[in-house]
Amino acid sequence: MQCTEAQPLFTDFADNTLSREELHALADHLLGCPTCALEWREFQQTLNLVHSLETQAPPADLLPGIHAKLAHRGIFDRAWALVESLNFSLSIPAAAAIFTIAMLAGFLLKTSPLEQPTIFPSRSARLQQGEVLTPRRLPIAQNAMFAVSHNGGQPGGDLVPLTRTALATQLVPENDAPHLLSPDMHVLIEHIDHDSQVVLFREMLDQNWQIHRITTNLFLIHFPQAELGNFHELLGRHPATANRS
Amino acid sequence: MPYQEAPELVRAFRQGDHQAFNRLVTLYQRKIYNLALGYVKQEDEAKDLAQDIFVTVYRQIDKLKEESKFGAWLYQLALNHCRNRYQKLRRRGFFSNQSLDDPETGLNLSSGATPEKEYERENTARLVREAIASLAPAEKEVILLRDLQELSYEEISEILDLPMGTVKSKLNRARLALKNRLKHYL
Repeated sequence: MQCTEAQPLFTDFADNTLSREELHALADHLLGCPTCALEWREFQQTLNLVHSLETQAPPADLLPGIHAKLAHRGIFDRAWALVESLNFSLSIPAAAAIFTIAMLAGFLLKTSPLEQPTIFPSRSARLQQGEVLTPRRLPIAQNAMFAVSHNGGQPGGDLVPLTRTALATQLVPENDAPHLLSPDMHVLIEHIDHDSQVVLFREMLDQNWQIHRITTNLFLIHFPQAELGNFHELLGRHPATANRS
Repeated sequence: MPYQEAPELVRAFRQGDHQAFNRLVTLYQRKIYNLALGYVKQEDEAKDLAQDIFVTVYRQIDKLKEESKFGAWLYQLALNHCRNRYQKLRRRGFFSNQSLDDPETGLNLSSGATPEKEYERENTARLVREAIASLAPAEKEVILLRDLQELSYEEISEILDLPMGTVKSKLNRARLALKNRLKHYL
């Protein structure tokens, strides 16, 4: 037997639970190895010391203290005990599923058209003013974009409403971003002749609205959402221009 | 063996006999208090810890599946409490304030010895307890359960949910580690 094999047997040796072969092998090794013999003596002395430790009597007020703690259960403890009494358990997948459903429900409620504030003109009024609305998306979110055909108040039948897009933010230079009021409107105007552009855009520039030319006949107007009423009023004041578009 | 009446006491307690709970506490309080003392080394803290353990027993007795396994269940619950309290106190630096000379860590002395003998005995006991306390948590645990609580290998195996062979090898390593810590004293 090697020294490294001897020490792992010390506890079984002390418990007298070694097999006959192990016992003989260990005894032979201890007789011939002074180092392991010393280790074994120290092991025995250690056990004697540990086993000589006396247990301490518990304090007399241990049991009354338990009853005092039981009597002073807080509201939280009572609630927790109630939950525990329901024997309610939840697996991790079930908890994840509930969390996902809750998040989804929250998202749907947030985007629901119900109970939205009516700070804007009615849909019919806005349609009469020539605005093509994104369906049931009020209030308009930041950087929302709409296509407007400036044709004198008639809805542009051939224009498809543009949903929210990154196009507007790409068109606005980054260094201008801090000057924009938020939330902002982005309105596309197309089918407008040169004379109309001059008249209409001059007034828009007077109001510090930003005008971006996308193509020769397509413009992006950027203005604060609070000035949407001014935009409609402006369109209404230039019907002749609109009729020519 | 007084512990043989534990399942009957558990059954009575579950049926609403609160005196049975008191008798269970009386039956196990010495062991649980000393187990707690082995972790926190301070009498007031050990008392508070032991009380919390029995409060949990009172509240969670319905979770015990087999009344005959009350002892193992109690020790599992107690070990969880002790580990948590030990970690909490260690984070607060509780143990760094204690030393070998701290009278709070003293032992009950046997009567009939001379003051010199008692002083030496007290010091030895304190050294051994300090050495046990300085072991790694897993080593300390198995020493406390086997050498101080005097539980059988089967009981320790059930409490720690480990095979008996693993318990024995862990115990042997823990005892060797303890021997090395006490080497200068032996």
